[in-house]
Amino acid sequence: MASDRAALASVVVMANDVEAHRRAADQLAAEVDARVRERLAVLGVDLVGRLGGRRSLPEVWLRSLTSLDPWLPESTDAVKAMVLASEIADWVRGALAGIGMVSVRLRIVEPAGRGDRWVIETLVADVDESSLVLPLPDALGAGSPFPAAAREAILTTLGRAVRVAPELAPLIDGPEPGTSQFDDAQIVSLLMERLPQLTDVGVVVLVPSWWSNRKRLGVRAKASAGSGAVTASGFGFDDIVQFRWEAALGDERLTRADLAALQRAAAAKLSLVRVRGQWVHVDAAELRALLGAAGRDGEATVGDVVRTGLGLPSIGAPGGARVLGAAATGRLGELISGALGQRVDAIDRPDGFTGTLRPYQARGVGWLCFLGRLGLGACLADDMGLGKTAQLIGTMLVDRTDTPTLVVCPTSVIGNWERELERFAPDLRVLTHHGIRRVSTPKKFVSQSGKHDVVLTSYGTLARDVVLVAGVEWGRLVLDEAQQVKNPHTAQAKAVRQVRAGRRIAMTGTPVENRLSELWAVLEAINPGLLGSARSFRERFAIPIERDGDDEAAARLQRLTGPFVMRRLKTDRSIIDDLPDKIELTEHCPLSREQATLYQAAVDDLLLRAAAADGQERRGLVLAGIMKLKQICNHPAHFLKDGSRLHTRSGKLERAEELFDELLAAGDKALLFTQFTEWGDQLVPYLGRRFDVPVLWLHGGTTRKRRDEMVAEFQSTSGPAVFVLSLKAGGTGLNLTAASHVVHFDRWWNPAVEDQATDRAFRIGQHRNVMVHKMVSTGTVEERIDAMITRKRALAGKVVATGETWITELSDDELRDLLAYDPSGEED
Amino acid sequence: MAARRRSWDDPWRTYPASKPRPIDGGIASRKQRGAMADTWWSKRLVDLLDSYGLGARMQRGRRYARQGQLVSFDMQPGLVVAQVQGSRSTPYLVSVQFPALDDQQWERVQDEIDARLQFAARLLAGEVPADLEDVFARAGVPLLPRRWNDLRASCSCPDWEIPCKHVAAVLYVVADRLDDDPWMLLLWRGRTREQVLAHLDRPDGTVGQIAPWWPLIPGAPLPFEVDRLGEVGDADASAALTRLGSLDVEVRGRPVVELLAEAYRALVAD
Repeated sequence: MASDRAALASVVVMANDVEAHRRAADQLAAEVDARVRERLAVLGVDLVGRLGGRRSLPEVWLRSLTSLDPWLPESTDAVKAMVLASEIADWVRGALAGIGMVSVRLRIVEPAGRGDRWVIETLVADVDESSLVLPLPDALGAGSPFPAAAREAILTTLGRAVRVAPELAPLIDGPEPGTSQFDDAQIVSLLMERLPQLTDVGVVVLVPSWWSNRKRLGVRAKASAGSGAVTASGFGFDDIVQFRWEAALGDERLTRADLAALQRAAAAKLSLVRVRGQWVHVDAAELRALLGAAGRDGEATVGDVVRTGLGLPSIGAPGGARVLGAAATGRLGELISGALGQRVDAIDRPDGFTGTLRPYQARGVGWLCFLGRLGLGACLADDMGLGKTAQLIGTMLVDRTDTPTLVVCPTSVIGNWERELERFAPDLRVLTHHGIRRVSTPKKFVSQSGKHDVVLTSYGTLARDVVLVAGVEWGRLVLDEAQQVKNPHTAQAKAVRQVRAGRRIAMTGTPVENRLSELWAVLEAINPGLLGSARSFRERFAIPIERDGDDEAAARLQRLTGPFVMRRLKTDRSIIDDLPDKIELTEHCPLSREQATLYQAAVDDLLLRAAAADGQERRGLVLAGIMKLKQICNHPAHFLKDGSRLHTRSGKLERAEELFDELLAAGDKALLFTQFTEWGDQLVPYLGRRFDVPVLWLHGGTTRKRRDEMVAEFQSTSGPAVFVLSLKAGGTGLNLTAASHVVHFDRWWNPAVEDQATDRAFRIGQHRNVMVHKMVSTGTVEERIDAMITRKRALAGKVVATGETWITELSDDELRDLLAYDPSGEED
Repeated sequence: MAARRRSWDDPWRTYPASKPRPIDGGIASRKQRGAMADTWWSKRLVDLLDSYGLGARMQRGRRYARQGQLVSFDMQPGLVVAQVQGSRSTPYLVSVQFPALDDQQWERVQDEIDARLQFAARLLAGEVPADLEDVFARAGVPLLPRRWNDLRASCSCPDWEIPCKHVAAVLYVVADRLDDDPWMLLLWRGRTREQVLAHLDRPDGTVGQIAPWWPLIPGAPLPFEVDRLGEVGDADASAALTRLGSLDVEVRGRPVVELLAEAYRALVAD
């Protein structure tokens, strides 16, 4: 082969004229052809096999390929051969320049010298072969690698471009096809107005980097050094600061000479001017406003100056000049310059907080309080399991507001909030505005909420009761699982926008689930106007970042949003040390209406029959009854065994789906334990469809061989991410350390059994932190027993170690207390 | 029985204003309301129709066009032929002649089209270039009819006025179609899209001389390093074939592409 390479290399010449190239091409073709034939003949390769019978033309041709003689037999039908030859030629050509798959690009070239005009060049690129880019005349002319069909495509695209942007006509009707001169105003209008239309017709305008990164002309508020707030070490955000407007280009101050140059350019009606070594777009009216405002004095609150400095202009400049930002010295300057995040003090022991905050949580509380006092919205986007709720509760205790905090969350986590508030801040007065018993008149709502520190409600209830909720001036608005408002057109998102609150906080473990527009929606809910309109956000950030992979746009977005988003990942080195290895969470899930009805009926039936029985019979009845209740808590279809649909009928399943959504998006793996094989049989195919992922299922009937295979699959990096196990079959002896989440869908009420199952994931070899989610249905026997276990761990360990039999020994009244359904958390 | 009334365009006529028989699936103008033309070239034709002050007859023609009274419609070089369903059971036969350019005239026009990129580009983009009129004028022929005399219309209906509403209906449909398809105008003048664009297939008459598989661009750097040729593994031995898409040729029931792959594998293994 080495000799081949040398021979070919000698043929390939870097010829600059078409003729030499053509000769080289022919020579190379002949050379390659001869060598391949020779080699195939030597190797004795026979592509068709020695078969008798009539030979079709393709067969004759195929045979000829492996012989030294390149010619087809003379007897070949010339017409048929031509047809075959053209078929093959098309086939080959199709691969070289994907027929018609070309893109037309316009390149903007800066003027060569003073007084010269701008130039636009037209280039044609192969869509599949990005290295193949030619100037228009070469793409159309002789020697073009593009087929005739592509020529039509190129011209069609150019014709359409001229239809939407008539000023480009010289490109197709000038002395030099594809190249023409333009003045700066035309370039500006092309870049500012024509891009979307040109994109629509398939023309790619190669936007010069100086344009995408161009700095804006405007003014910025420079806080005067003598201002009290600037020099003092501490200050209130309502303090007044004096400042002076100064002309700037981006973050550079403009000198007198710069301004004079701009004035001259404006007088000459130029729209693109070089200032401080970069192209600047000059709009006459804007420039007038700028010159009018520069040098004037003003005053504003510290809060306004900080917001302006962070890219959320909150101070109006004289004459409507564009406000670019704010600058200051001292502490205020540090806040604006981005040192803000590091400057925030951690608050590790909020007054009245009955628990401990981990170091990163203390930083979170400090940050939330700090932004809150600035009047800036905050988005706490820590990974699931890092304790966002605890940080919020800490914040409520430290930064107390005159009016209550409104917490909006999905129905499925209202119970969690109630319990966490009770656990961490028992002194806070909490009102749950949810369910059928909630107040319904504005007057009652105002007086009731006024008597509490925290009001909890669901997104659904908020949308229905928006009139009530919007009638209150809230001290703080907290949006939990804020991705719920990712679609700004939903009733829920609209309702959220109507809530008036002095402080706004969004919580989410996945600030961007699918699209950047979701981030916009979340930030718009807490800092309206920060990221501009949805449309301008799409143009400035979403499209460049998502479609074009524009890193600079991504960096700009990060700078702009950075001060308002705090996101820590479980995998952060600085966080990992703060975390316990195993985090246990009780997931309180409300019963659906259907579940509640079934549950109520089953309890009534059990109590009635238990009262009429005794001894062994009663014990049997109670155990069977409890089993039914657990099935109902899992899912109506589990209890009814009727094969009916699973979607949206069980509070537990919905919560589990939310968990899976989040953990799959994060690329995590999970184990799900259930004690009911028949439930696993229903759940596994459902989860597979719902998330479109393979789901493994290990139960008592699984063979040992299959079990080992499944464990190996799950443990491999690219293997399935969800593993459902029956508690009995999967509780022992397996090593499943690939999982970082363990879900106990139903409860065994024996911590030892659950811990053993959990340890499948939490074992030596586990480098991740493991999150254990224990699913509990609110208002049911599950919740009561869970509370018992948690409250009296030692005692419970003794009591429940024997499984569920102790329940059978309870009196009728005790049994009623344990089983009866408390509907306060029911969905409405 | 419809009341006898005088029609507006023919005060002497006393027989009932006839109603066309509705037809299913007839050819209708795409524009159902407002102006019958959007583009300057179609407007020219509509203006010509409207300029004859034929009032109600044109209005009826327009209604025919919108209702889809055309049973057939065929544009040929120099000639539109259509069948229009009127009030009688047999459709009327309408033809509108706009004499096509002769070969010499076309040659002059074609030379100018070939010489300037913008003509093909704009036509391909669905637009009749404004200066194409001048090109035709230089060849001594109009691009669009300037007056009725440029056209020769005939209709098999009993109406002795030309243009009758049937002719008008056909021309409204022509105008309607021309909006979206400028090639139809050139066909009327005598040449098909393929003929007009034939020059694209043979720029300088040299295309096809470079071997079709030749991937190199004159003056451009090689897309691969010659030294590394041959460093391919088994897996990508026939990668070149997979890049080629489908070739619908079989030998003894097996795709040729599949058979060829064998040769690549053999060469790489060597």
